[in-house]
Amino acid sequence: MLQFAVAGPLVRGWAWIVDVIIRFCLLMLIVFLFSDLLSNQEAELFIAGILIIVQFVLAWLYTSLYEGLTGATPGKKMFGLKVIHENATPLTGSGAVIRNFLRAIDGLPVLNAVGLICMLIDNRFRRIGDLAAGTVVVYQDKRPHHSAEKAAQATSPPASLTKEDRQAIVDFAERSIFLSKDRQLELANLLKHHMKDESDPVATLKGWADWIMGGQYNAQSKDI
Amino acid sequence: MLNQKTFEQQHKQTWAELDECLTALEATRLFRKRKTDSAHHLPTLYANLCQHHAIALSRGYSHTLVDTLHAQINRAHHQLYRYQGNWLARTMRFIGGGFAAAVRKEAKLFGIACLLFFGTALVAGSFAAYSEDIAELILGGRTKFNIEQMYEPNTFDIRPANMEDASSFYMFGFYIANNIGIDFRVFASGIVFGIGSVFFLLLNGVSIGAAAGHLSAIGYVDTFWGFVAGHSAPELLALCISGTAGLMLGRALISPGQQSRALALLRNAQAAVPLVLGAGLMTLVAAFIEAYWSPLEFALPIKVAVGLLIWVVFGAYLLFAGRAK
Repeated sequence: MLQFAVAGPLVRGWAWIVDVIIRFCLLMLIVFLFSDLLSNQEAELFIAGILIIVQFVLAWLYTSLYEGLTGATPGKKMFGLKVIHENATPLTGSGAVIRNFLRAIDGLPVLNAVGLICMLIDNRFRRIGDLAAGTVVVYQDKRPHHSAEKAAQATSPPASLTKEDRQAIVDFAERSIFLSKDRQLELANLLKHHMKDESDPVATLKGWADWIMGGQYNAQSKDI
Repeated sequence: MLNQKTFEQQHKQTWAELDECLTALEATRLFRKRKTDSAHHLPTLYANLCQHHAIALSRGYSHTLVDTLHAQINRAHHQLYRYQGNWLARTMRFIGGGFAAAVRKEAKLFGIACLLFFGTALVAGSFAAYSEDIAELILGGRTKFNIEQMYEPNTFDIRPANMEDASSFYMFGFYIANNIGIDFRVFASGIVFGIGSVFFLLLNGVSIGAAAGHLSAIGYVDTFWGFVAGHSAPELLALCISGTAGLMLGRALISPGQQSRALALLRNAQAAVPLVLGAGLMTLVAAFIEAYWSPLEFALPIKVAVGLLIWVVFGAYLLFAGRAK
Protein backbone atom coordinates (compact mmCIF):
# COMPACT_ATOMS: atom_id res chain seq x y z
CA MET A 1 0.00 0.00 0.00
CA LEU A 2 1.51 3.30 -1.09
CA GLN A 3 1.29 5.96 1.53
CA PHE A 4 1.74 9.70 1.32
CA ALA A 5 1.70 12.55 3.75
CA VAL A 6 -0.93 15.04 2.56
CA ALA A 7 0.18 18.67 2.56
CA GLY A 8 -1.90 21.12 4.56
CA PRO A 9 -3.08 24.65 3.77
CA LEU A 10 -0.22 26.41 5.53
CA VAL A 11 2.69 24.87 3.62
CA ARG A 12 0.72 25.13 0.39
CA GLY A 13 0.06 28.77 1.19
CA TRP A 14 3.78 29.36 1.54
CA ALA A 15 4.45 27.58 -1.74
CA TRP A 16 1.78 29.74 -3.38
CA ILE A 17 3.36 32.91 -2.05
CA VAL A 18 6.75 31.82 -3.41
CA ASP A 19 5.20 31.18 -6.81
CA VAL A 20 3.54 34.60 -6.76
CA ILE A 21 6.87 36.22 -5.93
CA ILE A 22 8.69 34.27 -8.66
CA ARG A 23 6.12 35.35 -11.25
CA PHE A 24 6.25 38.94 -10.08
CA CYS A 25 10.04 38.91 -10.35
CA LEU A 26 9.90 37.45 -13.86
CA LEU A 27 7.55 40.20 -14.95
CA MET A 28 9.75 42.84 -13.34
CA LEU A 29 12.79 41.32 -15.01
CA ILE A 30 11.20 41.76 -18.42
CA VAL A 31 10.25 45.35 -17.63
CA PHE A 32 13.83 45.94 -16.51
CA LEU A 33 15.36 44.30 -19.60
CA PHE A 34 13.27 46.37 -21.95
CA SER A 35 13.39 49.61 -20.00
CA ASP A 36 16.29 50.90 -22.10
CA LEU A 37 14.26 50.44 -25.23
CA LEU A 38 11.51 52.74 -24.07
CA SER A 39 12.69 55.41 -26.47
CA ASN A 40 9.53 56.13 -28.38
CA GLN A 41 5.86 55.43 -28.37
CA GLU A 42 6.11 52.65 -30.91
CA ALA A 43 8.57 50.67 -28.79
CA GLU A 44 6.39 51.28 -25.78
CA LEU A 45 3.44 49.71 -27.53
CA PHE A 46 5.52 46.68 -28.51
CA ILE A 47 6.72 46.17 -24.97
CA ALA A 48 3.26 46.66 -23.58
CA GLY A 49 2.08 43.92 -25.95
CA ILE A 50 4.83 41.57 -24.81
CA LEU A 51 4.06 42.31 -21.16
CA ILE A 52 0.37 41.58 -21.60
CA ILE A 53 1.14 38.23 -23.23
CA VAL A 54 3.73 37.29 -20.61
CA GLN A 55 1.37 38.28 -17.84
CA PHE A 56 -1.35 36.11 -19.37
CA VAL A 57 1.00 33.13 -19.69
CA LEU A 58 2.22 33.55 -16.11
CA ALA A 59 -1.31 33.86 -14.79
CA TRP A 60 -2.87 30.91 -16.62
CA LEU A 61 -0.16 28.59 -17.87
CA TYR A 62 2.77 28.85 -15.46
CA THR A 63 1.30 26.51 -12.87
CA SER A 64 -0.31 24.15 -15.40
CA LEU A 65 2.87 23.74 -17.42
CA TYR A 66 5.15 23.28 -14.42
CA GLU A 67 2.85 20.79 -12.75
CA GLY A 68 2.01 18.99 -15.98
CA LEU A 69 5.65 18.50 -16.87
CA THR A 70 7.32 18.06 -13.49
CA GLY A 71 4.53 17.51 -10.99
CA ALA A 72 5.31 20.62 -8.98
CA THR A 73 5.67 24.38 -9.38
CA PRO A 74 8.98 25.87 -8.23
CA GLY A 75 7.26 27.03 -5.06
CA LYS A 76 5.96 23.54 -4.31
CA LYS A 77 9.38 22.05 -5.06
CA MET A 78 10.95 24.44 -2.60
CA PHE A 79 8.70 23.14 0.17
CA GLY A 80 9.10 19.51 -0.89
CA LEU A 81 5.57 19.18 -2.25
CA LYS A 82 4.25 17.54 -5.37
CA VAL A 83 0.86 16.95 -6.97
CA ILE A 84 -0.28 13.40 -7.67
CA HIS A 85 -3.53 11.75 -8.63
CA GLU A 86 -5.57 10.03 -5.98
CA ASN A 87 -4.44 6.61 -7.20
CA ALA A 88 -0.84 7.72 -6.57
CA THR A 89 -0.02 7.97 -10.27
CA PRO A 90 1.89 11.01 -11.49
CA LEU A 91 -0.11 14.10 -12.41
CA THR A 92 -1.27 14.04 -16.02
CA GLY A 93 -1.42 17.04 -18.30
CA SER A 94 -5.19 17.27 -18.20
CA GLY A 95 -5.15 16.90 -14.43
CA ALA A 96 -2.78 19.85 -14.26
CA VAL A 97 -5.03 21.91 -16.55
CA ILE A 98 -8.18 21.17 -14.55
CA ARG A 99 -6.78 21.87 -11.11
CA ASN A 100 -5.03 25.04 -12.21
CA PHE A 101 -7.75 26.54 -14.40
CA LEU A 102 -10.17 26.08 -11.52
CA ARG A 103 -7.96 28.41 -9.52
CA ALA A 104 -10.21 31.04 -11.10
CA ILE A 105 -12.88 29.78 -8.68
CA ASP A 106 -10.65 28.68 -5.81
CA GLY A 107 -9.01 32.09 -5.82
CA LEU A 108 -12.27 33.92 -5.22
CA PRO A 109 -12.96 36.39 -3.81
CA VAL A 110 -9.43 37.20 -2.63
CA LEU A 111 -6.39 35.23 -1.49
CA ASN A 112 -7.76 31.78 -2.37
CA ALA A 113 -10.52 32.06 0.23
CA VAL A 114 -12.87 29.63 -1.50
CA GLY A 115 -10.07 27.12 -2.00
CA LEU A 116 -9.02 27.45 1.62
CA ILE A 117 -12.51 26.83 2.95
CA CYS A 118 -12.87 23.82 0.67
CA MET A 119 -9.49 22.49 1.86
CA LEU A 120 -10.49 22.85 5.49
CA ILE A 121 -13.72 20.92 4.91
CA ASP A 122 -12.10 18.13 2.91
CA ASN A 123 -10.31 15.35 4.75
CA ARG A 124 -7.39 15.40 2.35
CA PHE A 125 -7.02 19.16 2.03
CA ARG A 126 -8.30 19.20 -1.54
CA ARG A 127 -9.52 22.48 -2.98
CA ILE A 128 -12.21 22.58 -5.68
CA GLY A 129 -9.65 22.21 -8.45
CA ASP A 130 -8.25 19.12 -6.76
CA LEU A 131 -11.71 17.60 -6.41
CA ALA A 132 -12.46 18.08 -10.09
CA ALA A 133 -9.06 16.83 -11.22
CA GLY A 134 -8.84 13.96 -8.72
CA THR A 135 -5.54 15.19 -7.32
CA VAL A 136 -3.88 15.63 -3.95
CA VAL A 137 -0.87 17.66 -2.93
CA VAL A 138 1.55 15.51 -0.95
CA TYR A 139 5.01 15.70 0.52
CA GLN A 140 7.74 14.39 -1.69
CA ASP A 141 9.54 11.43 -0.16
CA LYS A 142 12.65 12.27 1.68
CA ARG A 143 15.08 9.45 1.05
CA PRO A 144 15.81 7.92 4.43
CA HIS A 145 19.32 6.70 4.93
CA HIS A 146 20.83 4.08 7.15
CA SER A 147 22.49 5.77 10.02
CA ALA A 148 22.87 3.15 12.72
CA GLU A 149 26.00 3.60 14.72
CA LYS A 150 28.13 0.55 14.99
CA ALA A 151 27.84 -0.88 18.47
CA ALA A 152 30.96 -2.03 20.19
CA GLN A 153 29.68 -5.55 20.28
CA ALA A 154 26.43 -7.31 19.71
CA THR A 155 24.82 -8.60 22.88
CA SER A 156 21.78 -10.76 23.07
CA PRO A 157 18.65 -8.99 24.27
CA PRO A 158 16.05 -10.48 26.60
CA ALA A 159 14.13 -13.33 25.02
CA SER A 160 10.65 -12.01 25.66
CA LEU A 161 10.79 -9.18 23.12
CA THR A 162 7.85 -8.73 20.79
CA LYS A 163 8.19 -7.61 17.18
CA GLU A 164 7.38 -4.05 18.17
CA ASP A 165 9.95 -4.11 20.99
CA ARG A 166 12.66 -5.23 18.62
CA GLN A 167 11.68 -2.60 16.10
CA ALA A 168 11.76 0.10 18.78
CA ILE A 169 15.24 -0.93 19.89
CA VAL A 170 16.58 -0.87 16.34
CA ASP A 171 14.91 2.49 15.73
CA PHE A 172 16.63 3.80 18.82
CA ALA A 173 20.02 2.76 17.47
CA GLU A 174 19.32 4.13 14.01
CA ARG A 175 18.02 7.45 15.25
CA SER A 176 20.56 7.91 18.00
CA ILE A 177 22.73 10.14 15.82
CA PHE A 178 19.90 12.69 15.92
CA LEU A 179 19.72 12.53 19.73
CA SER A 180 21.94 14.16 22.30
CA LYS A 181 23.96 11.93 24.61
CA ASP A 182 21.75 12.91 27.54
CA ARG A 183 18.56 12.08 25.69
CA GLN A 184 20.02 8.74 24.59
CA LEU A 185 20.85 7.92 28.20
CA GLU A 186 17.43 9.02 29.35
CA LEU A 187 15.75 6.70 26.87
CA ALA A 188 18.09 3.79 27.48
CA ASN A 189 17.57 4.08 31.23
CA LEU A 190 13.93 3.16 30.74
CA LEU A 191 15.09 -0.38 29.97
CA LYS A 192 17.83 -0.47 32.59
CA HIS A 193 16.08 -2.98 34.81
CA HIS A 194 16.12 -5.51 31.94
CA MET A 195 19.88 -5.27 31.58
CA LYS A 196 22.39 -7.59 33.16
CA ASP A 197 25.15 -5.06 32.98
CA GLU A 198 23.77 -1.67 33.97
CA SER A 199 27.01 0.29 33.69
CA ASP A 200 26.36 1.67 30.18
CA PRO A 201 22.71 1.32 29.17
CA VAL A 202 23.18 3.15 25.85
CA ALA A 203 25.92 0.82 24.67
CA THR A 204 23.97 -2.21 25.84
CA LEU A 205 20.88 -1.07 23.98
CA LYS A 206 22.88 -0.48 20.81
CA GLY A 207 24.42 -3.91 21.28
CA TRP A 208 20.92 -5.38 21.42
CA ALA A 209 20.02 -3.53 18.26
CA ASP A 210 23.05 -4.91 16.52
CA TRP A 211 22.14 -8.39 17.67
CA ILE A 212 18.57 -8.01 16.41
CA MET A 213 19.74 -6.70 13.05
CA GLY A 214 22.45 -9.24 12.47
CA GLY A 215 22.60 -11.86 15.17
CA GLN A 216 20.39 -14.91 15.12
CA TYR A 217 17.62 -14.02 17.47
CA ASN A 218 16.22 -17.06 19.20
CA ALA A 219 14.39 -18.10 22.29
CA GLN A 220 17.41 -19.87 23.72
CA SER A 221 18.91 -16.63 24.84
CA LYS A 222 19.60 -16.97 28.52
CA ASP A 223 19.74 -13.32 29.40
CA ILE A 224 16.78 -11.92 31.23
CA MET B 1 13.36 -15.93 10.73
CA LEU B 2 15.87 -14.22 8.53
CA ASN B 3 17.52 -11.31 10.29
CA GLN B 4 17.64 -7.91 8.69
CA LYS B 5 21.29 -7.83 7.72
CA THR B 6 21.09 -11.13 5.85
CA PHE B 7 17.87 -9.97 4.20
CA GLU B 8 19.53 -6.76 3.07
CA GLN B 9 22.55 -8.71 1.89
CA GLN B 10 20.36 -11.05 -0.15
CA HIS B 11 18.49 -8.33 -1.99
CA LYS B 12 21.14 -5.66 -2.18
CA GLN B 13 21.74 -6.37 -5.82
CA THR B 14 18.10 -6.16 -6.87
CA TRP B 15 17.76 -2.82 -5.11
CA ALA B 16 20.92 -1.47 -6.71
CA GLU B 17 19.71 -2.59 -10.12
CA LEU B 18 16.37 -0.89 -9.60
CA ASP B 19 18.03 2.26 -8.36
CA GLU B 20 20.20 2.38 -11.45
CA CYS B 21 17.22 1.81 -13.70
CA LEU B 22 15.21 4.54 -11.97
CA THR B 23 18.05 7.02 -12.03
CA ALA B 24 18.38 6.52 -15.77
CA LEU B 25 14.64 6.89 -16.32
CA GLU B 26 14.40 9.97 -14.14
CA ALA B 27 17.13 11.63 -16.16
CA THR B 28 14.91 11.64 -19.25
CA ARG B 29 13.65 15.06 -20.07
CA LEU B 30 11.17 16.47 -22.48
CA PHE B 31 13.41 16.56 -25.53
CA ARG B 32 15.96 13.93 -24.62
CA LYS B 33 15.31 10.38 -25.72
CA ARG B 34 15.46 7.77 -23.02
CA LYS B 35 18.52 5.61 -23.38
CA THR B 36 17.99 2.91 -20.84
CA ASP B 37 18.42 -0.70 -21.74
CA SER B 38 17.34 -1.83 -18.32
CA ALA B 39 13.94 -0.13 -18.56
CA HIS B 40 12.19 -3.33 -19.53
CA HIS B 41 13.31 -4.89 -16.25
CA LEU B 42 11.41 -2.24 -14.33
CA PRO B 43 8.10 -4.11 -13.89
CA THR B 44 9.85 -7.22 -12.53
CA LEU B 45 12.11 -5.22 -10.26
CA TYR B 46 9.12 -3.22 -9.09
CA ALA B 47 7.17 -6.38 -8.26
CA ASN B 48 10.16 -7.78 -6.36
CA LEU B 49 10.57 -4.56 -4.45
CA CYS B 50 6.91 -4.53 -3.42
CA GLN B 51 7.33 -8.06 -2.10
CA HIS B 52 10.45 -7.10 -0.18
CA HIS B 53 8.64 -4.16 1.34
CA ALA B 54 5.76 -6.36 2.45
CA ILE B 55 8.16 -8.87 3.98
CA ALA B 56 10.14 -6.17 5.76
CA LEU B 57 6.93 -4.72 7.13
CA SER B 58 5.55 -8.03 8.39
CA ARG B 59 8.81 -9.13 9.96
CA GLY B 60 9.21 -5.86 11.76
CA TYR B 61 12.50 -4.82 10.23
CA SER B 62 13.74 -1.39 11.12
CA HIS B 63 11.71 1.64 10.07
CA THR B 64 14.67 2.96 8.14
CA LEU B 65 14.67 -0.08 5.89
CA VAL B 66 10.90 -0.11 5.50
CA ASP B 67 10.84 3.60 4.69
CA THR B 68 13.70 3.27 2.23
CA LEU B 69 11.91 0.50 0.39
CA HIS B 70 8.68 2.50 0.43
CA ALA B 71 10.42 5.52 -1.06
CA GLN B 72 11.86 3.34 -3.80
CA ILE B 73 8.43 1.88 -4.51
CA ASN B 74 7.08 5.39 -4.97
CA ARG B 75 9.86 6.24 -7.37
CA ALA B 76 9.25 3.09 -9.41
CA HIS B 77 5.48 3.60 -9.31
CA HIS B 78 5.96 7.09 -10.66
CA GLN B 79 8.04 5.84 -13.57
CA LEU B 80 5.69 2.96 -14.34
CA TYR B 81 2.55 5.05 -14.48
CA ARG B 82 3.72 8.32 -15.94
CA TYR B 83 2.50 9.37 -19.35
CA GLN B 84 4.93 8.16 -21.96
CA GLY B 85 4.14 9.40 -25.40
CA ASN B 86 5.19 11.76 -28.04
CA TRP B 87 3.63 15.02 -26.93
CA LEU B 88 4.23 16.62 -30.32
CA ALA B 89 2.37 13.86 -32.14
CA ARG B 90 -0.35 14.08 -29.52
CA THR B 91 -0.72 17.81 -30.11
CA MET B 92 -0.89 17.34 -33.86
CA ARG B 93 -3.53 14.64 -33.47
CA PHE B 94 -5.48 16.97 -31.22
CA ILE B 95 -5.45 19.85 -33.67
CA GLY B 96 -5.94 17.53 -36.62
CA GLY B 97 -9.29 16.27 -35.40
CA GLY B 98 -9.23 15.19 -31.77
CA PHE B 99 -10.53 18.57 -30.72
CA ALA B 100 -13.39 18.57 -33.24
CA ALA B 101 -14.32 15.03 -32.23
CA ALA B 102 -14.39 16.06 -28.57
CA VAL B 103 -16.75 18.94 -29.39
CA ARG B 104 -19.04 16.70 -31.47
CA LYS B 105 -19.24 14.28 -28.58
CA GLU B 106 -20.91 17.05 -26.59
CA ALA B 107 -23.04 18.25 -29.50
CA LYS B 108 -26.10 18.62 -27.30
CA LEU B 109 -24.43 20.82 -24.71
CA PHE B 110 -22.67 22.74 -27.49
CA GLY B 111 -26.08 23.38 -29.02
CA ILE B 112 -27.36 24.68 -25.68
CA ALA B 113 -24.31 26.92 -25.29
CA CYS B 114 -24.79 28.29 -28.83
CA LEU B 115 -28.46 28.85 -28.17
CA LEU B 116 -27.70 30.71 -24.95
CA PHE B 117 -25.14 32.93 -26.62
CA PHE B 118 -26.42 33.48 -30.16
CA GLY B 119 -30.04 33.40 -29.03
CA THR B 120 -29.62 36.22 -26.53
CA ALA B 121 -27.37 38.05 -28.99
CA LEU B 122 -30.12 37.92 -31.60
CA VAL B 123 -32.82 39.03 -29.19
CA ALA B 124 -30.71 41.78 -27.63
CA GLY B 125 -29.55 42.86 -31.08
CA SER B 126 -33.10 43.13 -32.39
CA PHE B 127 -34.22 45.18 -29.43
CA ALA B 128 -31.17 47.43 -29.60
CA ALA B 129 -31.68 47.97 -33.33
CA TYR B 130 -35.37 48.71 -32.79
CA SER B 131 -34.88 51.40 -30.20
CA GLU B 132 -31.88 53.47 -29.22
CA ASP B 133 -33.26 53.79 -25.69
CA ILE B 134 -33.18 50.05 -25.24
CA ALA B 135 -29.63 49.97 -26.63
CA GLU B 136 -28.59 52.55 -24.05
CA LEU B 137 -30.40 50.64 -21.33
CA ILE B 138 -28.56 47.43 -22.19
CA LEU B 139 -25.12 48.81 -22.97
CA GLY B 140 -25.01 51.64 -20.51
CA GLY B 141 -24.48 55.22 -21.59
CA ARG B 142 -20.71 55.25 -21.47
CA THR B 143 -20.18 51.98 -23.37
CA LYS B 144 -22.70 53.07 -25.98
CA PHE B 145 -20.85 56.34 -26.43
CA ASN B 146 -17.49 54.56 -26.59
CA ILE B 147 -18.45 52.08 -29.28
CA GLU B 148 -20.14 54.82 -31.27
CA GLN B 149 -16.87 56.74 -31.16
CA MET B 150 -14.87 53.66 -32.03
CA TYR B 151 -16.79 52.72 -35.13
CA GLU B 152 -17.53 56.28 -36.31
CA PRO B 153 -16.95 55.90 -40.08
CA ASN B 154 -15.23 59.28 -40.57
CA THR B 155 -12.61 58.74 -37.92
CA PHE B 156 -12.43 54.97 -37.95
CA ASP B 157 -8.93 53.62 -37.59
CA ILE B 158 -8.15 51.98 -34.33
CA ARG B 159 -4.45 51.99 -35.11
CA PRO B 160 -2.58 55.26 -34.57
CA ALA B 161 -0.92 56.56 -37.73
CA ASN B 162 2.70 55.48 -38.35
CA MET B 163 2.56 52.84 -35.66
CA GLU B 164 0.55 50.16 -37.38
CA ASP B 165 2.93 47.29 -36.55
CA ALA B 166 3.40 48.13 -32.91
CA SER B 167 -0.25 48.87 -32.46
CA SER B 168 -1.30 45.61 -34.08
CA PHE B 169 1.07 43.68 -31.88
CA TYR B 170 -0.16 45.43 -28.78
CA MET B 171 -3.75 44.64 -29.71
CA PHE B 172 -2.73 41.04 -30.45
CA GLY B 173 -1.40 40.73 -26.91
CA PHE B 174 -4.49 42.39 -25.51
CA TYR B 175 -6.87 40.09 -27.42
CA ILE B 176 -4.92 37.02 -26.29
CA ALA B 177 -4.95 37.95 -22.63
CA ASN B 178 -8.50 39.26 -22.57
CA ASN B 179 -10.36 36.82 -24.81
CA ILE B 180 -8.59 33.59 -23.89
CA GLY B 181 -8.87 34.64 -20.26
CA ILE B 182 -12.63 34.97 -20.75
CA ASP B 183 -12.78 31.48 -22.31
CA PHE B 184 -10.97 29.96 -19.35
CA ARG B 185 -13.14 31.79 -16.85
CA VAL B 186 -16.30 30.71 -18.62
CA PHE B 187 -15.11 27.13 -18.21
CA ALA B 188 -14.01 27.43 -14.59
CA SER B 189 -17.20 29.16 -13.47
CA GLY B 190 -19.16 26.14 -14.72
CA ILE B 191 -18.17 24.39 -11.49
CA VAL B 192 -20.92 26.39 -9.73
CA PHE B 193 -23.60 24.00 -11.06
CA GLY B 194 -23.13 25.46 -14.52
CA ILE B 195 -24.57 28.79 -13.40
CA GLY B 196 -21.35 30.71 -14.03
CA SER B 197 -21.03 29.48 -17.60
CA VAL B 198 -24.67 30.22 -18.36
CA PHE B 199 -24.29 33.67 -16.86
CA PHE B 200 -21.18 34.52 -18.90
CA LEU B 201 -22.71 33.18 -22.12
CA LEU B 202 -25.83 35.28 -21.59
CA LEU B 203 -23.85 38.34 -20.55
CA ASN B 204 -21.60 38.18 -23.60
CA GLY B 205 -24.55 37.42 -25.86
CA VAL B 206 -26.48 40.42 -24.61
CA SER B 207 -23.62 42.91 -24.79
CA ILE B 208 -22.21 41.74 -28.13
CA GLY B 209 -25.67 41.43 -29.65
CA ALA B 210 -26.79 44.84 -28.41
CA ALA B 211 -23.62 46.49 -29.70
CA ALA B 212 -24.02 44.86 -33.10
CA GLY B 213 -27.71 45.73 -33.31
CA HIS B 214 -27.24 49.32 -32.27
CA LEU B 215 -24.26 49.99 -34.56
CA SER B 216 -26.10 48.44 -37.50
CA ALA B 217 -29.17 50.56 -36.78
CA ILE B 218 -27.25 53.83 -36.75
CA GLY B 219 -25.59 52.91 -40.04
CA TYR B 220 -22.03 52.02 -38.97
CA VAL B 221 -22.30 48.85 -41.03
CA ASP B 222 -19.06 49.15 -42.97
CA THR B 223 -16.85 49.86 -40.01
CA PHE B 224 -18.43 47.48 -37.52
CA TRP B 225 -19.25 44.46 -39.66
CA GLY B 226 -16.14 44.99 -41.75
CA PHE B 227 -14.04 44.85 -38.60
CA VAL B 228 -15.65 41.91 -36.84
CA ALA B 229 -16.43 39.68 -39.84
CA GLY B 230 -12.99 38.10 -40.05
CA HIS B 231 -12.44 36.99 -36.50
CA SER B 232 -16.05 36.41 -35.51
CA ALA B 233 -16.08 32.69 -36.35
CA PRO B 234 -13.17 31.44 -34.23
CA GLU B 235 -13.84 33.88 -31.40
CA LEU B 236 -17.54 33.26 -30.97
CA LEU B 237 -17.35 29.52 -31.59
CA ALA B 238 -14.53 29.27 -29.05
CA LEU B 239 -16.63 31.14 -26.51
CA CYS B 240 -19.48 28.67 -27.02
CA ILE B 241 -17.08 25.72 -26.83
CA SER B 242 -15.59 26.86 -23.54
CA GLY B 243 -19.16 27.45 -22.41
CA THR B 244 -19.87 23.83 -23.33
CA ALA B 245 -16.90 22.73 -21.21
CA GLY B 246 -18.27 24.76 -18.30
CA LEU B 247 -21.74 23.27 -18.76
CA MET B 248 -20.17 19.81 -18.60
CA LEU B 249 -18.90 20.60 -15.10
CA GLY B 250 -22.35 21.81 -14.19
CA ARG B 251 -24.02 18.73 -15.65
CA ALA B 252 -21.78 16.48 -13.56
CA LEU B 253 -23.12 18.12 -10.41
CA ILE B 254 -26.74 18.56 -11.44
CA SER B 255 -27.36 15.23 -13.11
CA PRO B 256 -24.51 12.82 -12.49
CA GLY B 257 -26.46 9.80 -13.74
CA GLN B 258 -25.55 6.37 -12.44
CA GLN B 259 -22.45 7.52 -10.60
CA SER B 260 -21.53 9.59 -7.62
CA ARG B 261 -21.26 13.34 -8.12
CA ALA B 262 -17.57 13.20 -7.29
CA LEU B 263 -16.90 10.59 -9.97
CA ALA B 264 -19.11 12.37 -12.50
CA LEU B 265 -17.22 15.60 -11.86
CA LEU B 266 -13.90 13.80 -12.34
CA ARG B 267 -14.94 12.28 -15.64
CA ASN B 268 -16.64 15.36 -17.03
CA ALA B 269 -13.73 17.59 -16.10
CA GLN B 270 -11.39 15.16 -17.81
CA ALA B 271 -13.54 15.19 -20.95
CA ALA B 272 -13.85 18.98 -20.86
CA VAL B 273 -10.10 19.62 -21.02
CA PRO B 274 -9.80 19.17 -24.82
CA LEU B 275 -12.66 21.63 -25.29
CA VAL B 276 -11.04 24.26 -23.10
CA LEU B 277 -7.60 23.94 -24.65
CA GLY B 278 -9.07 23.85 -28.16
CA ALA B 279 -11.15 26.93 -27.40
CA GLY B 280 -7.99 28.64 -26.21
CA LEU B 281 -6.20 27.80 -29.46
CA MET B 282 -9.15 29.00 -31.54
CA THR B 283 -9.21 32.26 -29.66
CA LEU B 284 -5.49 32.60 -30.31
CA VAL B 285 -6.23 32.30 -34.03
CA ALA B 286 -9.05 34.81 -33.60
CA ALA B 287 -6.71 37.23 -31.83
CA PHE B 288 -4.25 36.98 -34.71
CA ILE B 289 -6.95 37.67 -37.29
CA GLU B 290 -8.41 40.47 -35.19
CA ALA B 291 -5.05 42.17 -34.80
CA TYR B 292 -3.63 41.76 -38.29
CA TRP B 293 -6.52 41.32 -40.71
CA SER B 294 -9.59 42.96 -39.24
CA PRO B 295 -8.19 46.54 -39.14
CA LEU B 296 -7.13 46.44 -42.79
CA GLU B 297 -9.16 48.67 -45.04
CA PHE B 298 -10.96 46.61 -47.65
CA ALA B 299 -14.42 47.00 -49.06
CA LEU B 300 -17.20 45.53 -46.96
CA PRO B 301 -18.09 42.74 -49.43
CA ILE B 302 -14.51 41.45 -49.38
CA LYS B 303 -14.39 41.56 -45.60
CA VAL B 304 -17.70 39.78 -45.29
CA ALA B 305 -16.76 37.19 -47.90
CA VAL B 306 -13.54 36.38 -46.07
CA GLY B 307 -15.44 36.26 -42.81
CA LEU B 308 -17.97 33.83 -44.24
CA LEU B 309 -15.18 31.71 -45.68
CA ILE B 310 -13.62 31.48 -42.22
CA TRP B 311 -17.01 30.50 -40.80
CA VAL B 312 -17.27 27.74 -43.37
CA VAL B 313 -13.73 26.53 -42.64
CA PHE B 314 -14.30 26.34 -38.90
CA GLY B 315 -17.76 24.89 -39.34
CA ALA B 316 -16.43 22.17 -41.63
CA TYR B 317 -13.57 21.51 -39.23
CA LEU B 318 -15.90 21.05 -36.28
CA LEU B 319 -18.28 18.93 -38.31
CA PHE B 320 -15.92 16.66 -40.19
CA ALA B 321 -12.40 16.66 -38.75
CA GLY B 322 -11.38 13.57 -36.85
CA ARG B 323 -14.25 11.37 -37.92
CA ALA B 324 -13.49 7.65 -37.93
CA LYS B 325 -12.98 6.40 -41.47
